Amino acid sequence: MIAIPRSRLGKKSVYAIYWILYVLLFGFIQAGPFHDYRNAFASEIISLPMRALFVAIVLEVMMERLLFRNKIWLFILLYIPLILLFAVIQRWIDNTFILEYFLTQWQKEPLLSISPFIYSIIKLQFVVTIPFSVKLFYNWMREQHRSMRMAEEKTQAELLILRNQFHPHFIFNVLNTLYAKTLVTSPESAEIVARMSSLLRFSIYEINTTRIPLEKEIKYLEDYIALQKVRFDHHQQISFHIDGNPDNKFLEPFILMAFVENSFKHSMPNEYGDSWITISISIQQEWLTAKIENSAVPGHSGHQLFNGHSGGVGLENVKRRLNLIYGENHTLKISQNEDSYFVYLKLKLESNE
Amino acid sequence: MNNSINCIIIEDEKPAADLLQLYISRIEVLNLAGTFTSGTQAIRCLNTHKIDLIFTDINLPGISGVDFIRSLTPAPNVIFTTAHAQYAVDGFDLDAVDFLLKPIPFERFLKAINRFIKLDSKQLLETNKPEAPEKEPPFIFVKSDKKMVKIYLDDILYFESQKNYLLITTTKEVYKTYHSISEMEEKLPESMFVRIHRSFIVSIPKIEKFNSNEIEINKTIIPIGRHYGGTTTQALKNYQLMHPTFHL
Repeated sequence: MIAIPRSRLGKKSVYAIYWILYVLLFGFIQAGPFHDYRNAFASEIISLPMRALFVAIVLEVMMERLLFRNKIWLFILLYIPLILLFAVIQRWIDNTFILEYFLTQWQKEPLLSISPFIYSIIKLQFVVTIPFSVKLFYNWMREQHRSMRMAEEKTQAELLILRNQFHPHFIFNVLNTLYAKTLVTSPESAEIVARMSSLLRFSIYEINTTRIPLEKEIKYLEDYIALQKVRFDHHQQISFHIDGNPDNKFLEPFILMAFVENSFKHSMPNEYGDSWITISISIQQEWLTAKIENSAVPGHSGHQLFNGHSGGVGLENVKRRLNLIYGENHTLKISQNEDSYFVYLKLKLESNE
Repeated sequence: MNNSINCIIIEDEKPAADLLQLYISRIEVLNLAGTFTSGTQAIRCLNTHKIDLIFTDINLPGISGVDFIRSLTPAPNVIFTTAHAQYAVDGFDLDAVDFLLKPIPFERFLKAINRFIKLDSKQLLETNKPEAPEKEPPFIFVKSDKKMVKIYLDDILYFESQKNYLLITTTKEVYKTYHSISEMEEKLPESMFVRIHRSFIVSIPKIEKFNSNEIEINKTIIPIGRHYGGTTTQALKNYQLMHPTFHL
């Protein structure tokens, strides 16, 4: 990859260095065999502001606005009168200052007299050529760099898409193989595979959707709870109660799941005694009420409510999403005492007309 | 013979095909006419036999399951099986009977078959689940006598608030806890319990008699509070809507 040579000098310093070198070079050349440094440098310096202005207009205005924006003909069309105009100014400066006060041995000629006029044009053209070329080259490098970066980013994005397409398909086929192989010999293992697949599918495909059928979300909750139960060999006491009809009702995915996950995270079986989780979901008309309570570990109270390292960010995120998506259409109450942690969530479901 | 459904499987992965074969063998009306690893292999069978239903994977070597089905006239009855959820849309474009996501549990397979049978207006299959795992009934945990006790919701008759404690009357015993009645009300499933008085919450399914002034549970008469009449009637109505077998 081509890296842009990043000059630590700013644009102004680069111009300054260019003009200093320019004045020095032409000062010495023009001083000539008679070593007339005073007059040579004086005439260069007097012409400098005009030349600097000319170069600045060509590079900073015309190149940027026209040449780099593919208005090449307009650039040329404006460049010719511009250089002619500045040649006239040069001629005027020559006659008014330089030949008047410094190079007095030279003979003044009329403003538009051909040969000094052409000389002025050539000199202006010379002055602008080097910065012009440098800028052109620099710009070309920058474009190269940018197009390479863009190509690289595009490949990255394509790779990501490929990855997302390839993996799930492969994984679910393998899981299906595992399911088929275990169904007869170990139905319990097969069930774990099936629930795991269902959850995995949920996290892969529903993560980008903004609403899913309530029925599906409940199914995923059931899968999740069933998997947690086998993980801890049913040591946790879990009550899962659903009342009401979830058909044709929709909600934002991962909200209920987040609270259920959180309750499991904080009520892991422990040596202090019973660990339990009670989840009740009731659907009444367009309202869903979820009540999720889990046992708290004595001595660890407060951990769950105030953002500990685990779960805190997730919970904050869910609260923000609730406010954003449901706004007035939801109530969230979280309370904790030394025995338990309780979440009350009521939200308005969407339905298909 | 007339009643049986002739079907074929198109699936390139052997375990996946084995699974479908197993499921098909479990359902009497289904008759497997053949298993193929690609659409092209299945063509001869489709030409020589009357096939009622095709199970096909979508991601197949050569021609995809979707394209293969699209090439057939008249359009056959098809159930797609795939690992890829995003193909679902394509599948339904073709008027598929169903769309099964791998891994496919038997209950889901049965549902698909019933969907097909319904289309064919035949007798539906019994959804006899192989082994319905008995589910523990829902419960709550409350602190009583300095320890946490588990109480099944189905056992609860009513809650009664006393001066600074709460009595929970169940079919088995009475528990004393120090939760406030409002706190308890918030935690209970609202479809199943209703506050009918400043000092009482009752289990709706346990109500035996009901009039505008009082209810009767387990031979106990509980008054309905002056401000609780509306919510009580509404809760009973909602419960009845959700549980049509419930009558008062």
